[in-house]
This record gives sequence, C-alpha cells and structure tokens, in this order.
Amino acid sequence: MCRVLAYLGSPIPLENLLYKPDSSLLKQAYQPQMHHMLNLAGFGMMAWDPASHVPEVPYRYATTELPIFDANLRNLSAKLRPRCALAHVRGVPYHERVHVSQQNLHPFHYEGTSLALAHNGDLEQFDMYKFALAEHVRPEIRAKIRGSTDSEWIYALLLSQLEDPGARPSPDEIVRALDAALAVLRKVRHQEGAARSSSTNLFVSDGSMLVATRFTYDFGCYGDSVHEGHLRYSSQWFTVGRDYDFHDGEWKMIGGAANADSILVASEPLTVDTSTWLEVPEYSALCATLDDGKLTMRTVELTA
Amino acid sequence: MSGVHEIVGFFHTLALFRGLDTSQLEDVAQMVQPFERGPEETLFQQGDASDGMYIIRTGSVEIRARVPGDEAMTLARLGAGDLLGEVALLDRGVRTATALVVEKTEGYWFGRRHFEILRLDRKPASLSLMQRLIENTCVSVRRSYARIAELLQEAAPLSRVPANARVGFAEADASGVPFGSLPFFSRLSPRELQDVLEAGRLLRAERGTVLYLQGAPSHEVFIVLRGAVRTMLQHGDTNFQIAVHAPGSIVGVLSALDGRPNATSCEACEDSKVLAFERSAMETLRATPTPPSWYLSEHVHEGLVRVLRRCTDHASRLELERHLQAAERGASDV
Repeated sequence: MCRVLAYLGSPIPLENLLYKPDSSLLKQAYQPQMHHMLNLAGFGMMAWDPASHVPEVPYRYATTELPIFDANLRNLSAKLRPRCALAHVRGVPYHERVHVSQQNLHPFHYEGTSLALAHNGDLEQFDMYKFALAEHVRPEIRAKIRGSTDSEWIYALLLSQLEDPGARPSPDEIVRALDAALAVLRKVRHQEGAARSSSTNLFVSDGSMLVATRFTYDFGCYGDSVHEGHLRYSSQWFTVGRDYDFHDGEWKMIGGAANADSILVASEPLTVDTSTWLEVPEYSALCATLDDGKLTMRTVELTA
Repeated sequence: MSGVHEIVGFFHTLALFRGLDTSQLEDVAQMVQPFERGPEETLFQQGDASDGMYIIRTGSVEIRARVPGDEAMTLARLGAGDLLGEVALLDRGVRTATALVVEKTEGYWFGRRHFEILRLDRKPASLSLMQRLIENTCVSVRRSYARIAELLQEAAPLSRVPANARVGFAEADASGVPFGSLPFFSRLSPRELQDVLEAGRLLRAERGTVLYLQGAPSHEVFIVLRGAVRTMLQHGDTNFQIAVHAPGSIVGVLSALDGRPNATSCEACEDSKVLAFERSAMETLRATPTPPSWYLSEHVHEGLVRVLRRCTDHASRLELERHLQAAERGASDV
C-alpha cells in the first residue's frame, strides 16, 4: 500500500525524516504502524536543497533495493538539508505479476514539468479501465509514460488537467486539476464497471509548495471478501511548527502554530506517539505554501 | 480517605448517580478506589489507554489536548463533583487529552473492569449508571458540534449542500454482504442475524442520497453494510464533514438516544447498502435481554464515543488553521 512523506519548510537534515524518528519513513517499509502490509518494492525520493547547485532542480534518488540496507542513502541523508522533500517506500501485492523496477518508483516527475507526484494507495481492477484513460491524457504526456503503475497514469491525468503542464501552477490550480483528474477517474471507473474501494492519497510538490489529497473511490465497496482497506479509510496525517527534531525526549516540531515555518505530511506519523499530529479529513486536500518564511495551510473538501 | 458510607453520601450529590438508591450506590462505592494528586501531576496523559473514570471530590484539574507545534489547547477546567474520562466506561480507545492537576485533587477512580463486573453481575446500579453515561456523552457530542460550529464562523470550508431527502433510496437484499466480516454482525449466530435483519429494512442508497437531515426529527438509525455514508454539520449554505462511516458503522444514534432533532445531516458518500431500523425497533432490540442486544448496545456506545473523539480532532485542526490564518494576517490576538 506504500508509505509516503512530504516536507516543506526550513532546511532540515534528511535523516530526521528518513531514519531517526522511532517510526521514520524507512522503518515504515518493514514495520508500519497503521497498516499490515510490508513496503518492500523500493524507495524513491526528490529533495530540493537550497544550498545545492541550481536549487530549484530537485535531487532524485531511487532504488529497487530495500532502502534500510542502503549505505549510500544513509550517508547522503546525513549530508542533505532540503527545504522540501517527497519520499516514498513502495508496497505492492505479494505476487509474481507485479513489476519491481526503476520505472515504477515514485515520485513521478516528467522533464519539462514542475510537478512531482507520489501515491499511497491502489486502484483495484485498474487493468479493466487503464486504456480507457488514454483519451483523457494529452498525447505529449501520454508519450512519456514509461512504467506500469496506476500511479503514473494518475500523474499523467493530473498534468493533462493543467492549462500549461510546463508552467508552475499555483496551489489553487493544482487542487482544481487534482479534483478534475479524480473526477475523470471516477467517471471512467463507473463507465467500465470498476466499483471496489481504491485509495488515492496523492502527494504533489514543485519544491515551493505541497498539496496532499486523502481520497478513496468507492470506499467500503468490496468484492468477494472484505479486507482492511474496505473498513478503514487510508490514513494521512500532518504536523506543523518549526525545527522537527528530538526535543525534550521526543520527536516533534516546536515553536507554536503562530510561528510555524514547516509542515510534514505523511501516510502515518513518524512517531508511535501520534499526539502532536492531526489527521487530514477524508475526501479532502491539504495545501501548504511558504510566504516569507511563514507557513500557510488549509484543507479543502474535494468534489470528485 | 473515606469509608463506603461517606462515599455514598458524596455520590448522592452527583447528577451521574441520579436515580440510584443507597443500596445501588453501595455496590458502586465498593468498587471505586480513592486517589490523591498534587499540582503539576497528571491523572492521565493523551494517548494512554482509557481504563476508567475519575470523579473529583475536591481540587481542580485542567484538560489539555496537544496540538502540532508543541502547544496545548485547554479544553476544560474541572472541579469538585465533575467527572473526567467517563467515556472510558463505554469503549476501549485511548485518552484524547491530558488531565493536569492544578490544585491538590482528591476523588475516586472507577475502572472499566469494575464497571464490567457490575454489569456481568446484572447489578441494577450498572443499568442506571450506563443510562446516565450515555446521556452525558450525548450532551458532550452536541456541545462538541456547537464548538465546531463556532470555529467554522472563522474558517468556512468548501463543501456541498445535501440533495433532496431520500432521493435514490430503494429496497435491497442481503445478497453478497459478508456479514461474518463486519463489526457487530460478526458476533451474531445465523439465527440471531436473521432476527436482526427481519427487524430492519435493507435499502440501497446511491451516492449523494440523504439519509437524514440536520434539525429534522429522528425516525431511524442506519447500519452501513456496503459503501460509506458521511455525517455533516450545516454551516450557512455549505456543509462541514464530521465523519465518514465504513461498513459495520451505525449512524443516527445521537438523536435516537436523546430524543432531540438530528444534530447533523447524513448522506451516502458512495453507492451504499444500509440496514435501517425504526427508532422503536432499535429500542426493542436493545431492550431484549439477549446477546445481540448487548452487542448492539456496545456498538452504539462505541459509535457515539468515536464521533466525540472525531469532534475533538476537528476542533484541534480548526483551531490550528485559525492560528495559522491569524499569523498570516499579522494578528496576535488568537
């Protein structure tokens, strides 16, 4: 089912997100707290580091190996201090038909566009309607699809809803495009007879803002059997403040909401103790931007 | 601190024990344990397992919920005669706030295990106490909705307005519903399941169908069998989503329990199948001294507490957004 995190704020040691907290993203690969599947099909990350060469261009790292055994990633994360990061551990069903490959690692980011996207979820029965989506994707975007995941098609649909996929859209434009892309998917699913619970929690960023949706199609609709995803809405949490670090014996942000300059959104909290985190409401999008070092954040309900 | 006689005398003064006679209060008094805490000590911490209820005899306690940014929001200040953590007797969740002692506080702790012993012994005190606890929880839920409505005055979310009531409702059948995998139903024997299904009506609700409207009298409660429904609080001409209810969840219970008009509206947010009970049918089911009645009551109480917890989450988030918006405007008076 994957685990994702997105960070926006003052520069932060990457290891404070990936390794150090007691339920850090990489620990969620093999010991997630809020769902029962392991996330063993690789790791992908994009990070925008203001101290790096051409800071608006993100650093990308992706591996199909288990990231917890990756010494290069460990060393790198101790050195990088990004102001924005989008990181993903991939979870897939346990069978031989799944493709574990570089092309299928998140976040997705096409050259010539500003947006990157990571997906936590799974479109059940995707093969039933995958090719019916093609007519809703711009030809130039369609030509860029390389992998076999439902997530990359969602990314292509999102880009196709933007007036100019090559431009840098505002958060409001991204929310509208996401809502429109989700509506197209709902319509196509309905036309093709797909009606099983399919979570579509999306994390989108261009390095200067982030938008995260908590959204499930046909929530509570099952096939021949009922499983966890039918009874529990796929989770998504956030926390805000300053300086995410180990303070007074716990991993948290400090400084109060009024002085917040950072936000962390994740499939599940990075600590077993969830008391400094809040849930993003279901069928909603969370938008966050930084203005002169001040965080602005709001949640809006999606209409798709 | 005190003997049973003295405790009973104190309990007689509390609304929680209204209607209980001295003999029933003695049953409760024998179960409670006295506690004493000094300033800055806690009775429980946010995130702790909910294991019982505290009854304050003297002193002062602040209820604080943590919010992101390492701040705490004061939810209430409680004193002599007040209860805290009473929902622990109705479900097995975790504490949603910390209880911090402000002035030296004494009182009694009543564990959920003790309450369960009274219930298993069929002590009349347990029935009266349960009734009072449910009434208290209903009041708390309505108070939480009012708090959210206040917060929404400053931060209106985007949402939808309900369609016409009952558009799209149609009779349905139970085919394809895996009752054995759904909460509540999974505890029933085939015979009990049959009785429950016969007491209600199976309905199909297309996405957008309104199950009930805020402010209208309550006629029915619904158990979701497939798909999902959401409860919403009206705010001007928009709605604010309170909770999404998965298969097995029960909705409409607040009004069914306290007899007041619906506090929220409810619509199907996916194509759904529900089991509808007239209020009277649900009361008959709950009043019948059989295992399904116990399971249903537990399910109803847990659903009520879940909504209460959800309201606390919304209030925290809306407060947070209010602070962030105020900071954006440069205000400092939040």
